[in-house]
Amino acid sequence: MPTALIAEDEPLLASELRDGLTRLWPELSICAMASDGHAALNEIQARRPDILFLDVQMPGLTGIEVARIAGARAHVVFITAFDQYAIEAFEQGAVDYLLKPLDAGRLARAVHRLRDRISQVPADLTHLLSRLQREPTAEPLRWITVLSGREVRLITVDEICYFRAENKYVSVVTADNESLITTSMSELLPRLDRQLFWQIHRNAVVNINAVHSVRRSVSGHLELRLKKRSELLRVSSANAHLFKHM
Amino acid sequence: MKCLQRPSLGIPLGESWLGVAALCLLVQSAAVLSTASNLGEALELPFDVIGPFTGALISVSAVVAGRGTLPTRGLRRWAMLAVLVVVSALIGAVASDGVESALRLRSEFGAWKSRLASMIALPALIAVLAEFQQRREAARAALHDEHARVTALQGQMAEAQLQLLQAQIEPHFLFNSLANIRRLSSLDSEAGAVLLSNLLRVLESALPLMRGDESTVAKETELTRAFLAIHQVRMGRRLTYSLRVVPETSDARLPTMMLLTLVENALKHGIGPLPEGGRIDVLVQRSGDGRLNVVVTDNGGGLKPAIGHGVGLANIRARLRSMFGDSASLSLYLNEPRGVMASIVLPERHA
Repeated sequence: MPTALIAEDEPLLASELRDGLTRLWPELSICAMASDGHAALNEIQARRPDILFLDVQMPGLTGIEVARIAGARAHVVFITAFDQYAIEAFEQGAVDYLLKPLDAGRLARAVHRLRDRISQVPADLTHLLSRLQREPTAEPLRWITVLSGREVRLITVDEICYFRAENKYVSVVTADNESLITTSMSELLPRLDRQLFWQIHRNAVVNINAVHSVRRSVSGHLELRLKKRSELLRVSSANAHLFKHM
Repeated sequence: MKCLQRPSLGIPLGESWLGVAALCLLVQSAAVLSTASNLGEALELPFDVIGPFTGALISVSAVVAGRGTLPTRGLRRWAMLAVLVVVSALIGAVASDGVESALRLRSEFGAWKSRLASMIALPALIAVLAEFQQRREAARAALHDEHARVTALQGQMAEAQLQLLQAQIEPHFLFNSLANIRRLSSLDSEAGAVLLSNLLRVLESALPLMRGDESTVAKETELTRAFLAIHQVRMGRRLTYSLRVVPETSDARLPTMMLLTLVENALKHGIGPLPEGGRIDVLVQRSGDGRLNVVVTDNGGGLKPAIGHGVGLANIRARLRSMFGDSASLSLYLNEPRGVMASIVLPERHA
């Protein structure tokens, strides 16, 4: 008798899916219900179900993460509410998925497909999942939070004069403050709006709106004077071309 | 980078040298003409005019060139301007005399006083006109700057509003709520109806055309209560919450969606990621200094020093700044023993 796990954090929706499956596929045994990603992993380890119904958005680990860790030996059906990005990926990867609110017809079709495939080897989802793992990062950074005592300071990008790499971390410099964040410059760079933030040196990225003027120092380097900071920022010769037209 | 705008020299007459030259010619011609005693002398005028004309042109040029070096404002500027006018007139007088003697139009080096007097009028006039023109342009520029500032602020405001609307009606939230309503309706139709009316309340408030920029504490609290009730159904035991509004603040004005955004954040980033869930407490009160204080506390996973692109908090801050300037603020604190406390303070005004 085939077995299945349902991992869904919303209790009403989990019970709805369970009832629907029981009705459409009486021989299927729902061996475990989990309401978060970690619980799902534990149940999968303990019971080795044939089919995993995984909600994409769950506390702990997401359905995608659970499938990546434990999905190789089971047939996976993802459950998601409207999520354009995930749905497109599922469509392209020919992965089974269910949309919330659950539609009886769609659930019946999914069950039909699963019945056909249950004796076969589960599809390899590695490629698709690694793609889904990389969340869309098109959205540029808007803010940074830093701890100052018990207060969490919220720094919006327009307040930032520049970033300075400090070993593995990055110092966020505003008009009147400097705070260290535990993110490396290489992690930070792809998330910045490149129209606004220019890398002027291996260890410095400046907010172009914070720049007052560019000048050439006695030693021949380009230097930036900032509107709200007194220090001068040196532009490395490799990046001097950025300011060529000024 | 933007090209710097060159400051105008502040020359009147459309900044045209031709115009200045024409004025010089006219004024000096009139001066000479008035001294001519008969027609014969008047006929020699074209020649007579060359000297005064050159002098006037040079004196006006001196004034225009000299103005740029003066201090920008104050009594000192006017004093220096007076000196500049006199010196320019002197230069003009000497030049005009030089030209005339070179052309041998007039041999006598006399009448210095009248020559200086006729020379001083024009540079003085030009200097004063230029001063007024410059003042007017400065005022216009200031007005323009102010206008640009207001426009930029309105733009930011509109952008914040737009982001707000896009952020609130997440399709994910909508479809998940609908899924719960359908399920609940088949199990407990009354509870399903309550959930549906809560969803309608949230949607009504979040739909663009129905929202202005400001609401009241009472309305925003009701909206938040509906929102929390929906999540209560969805999350079951994982969520507990409380809402407390100090009665005298309930009709105070509150910008729309700010309370809801704080609660949404607490759900999404605080309680949501925790398998065991947590609690959210909302408090609207009067702060020690008599301002309105909205506090949302959760005992969730906490706000680790992080980088993000969520629009919620940055949006609240931008709107508070554009609506109240420095008299409103959004602060975040770590809660004990864990979680986050978000607090908005703003001027208390009643509808």
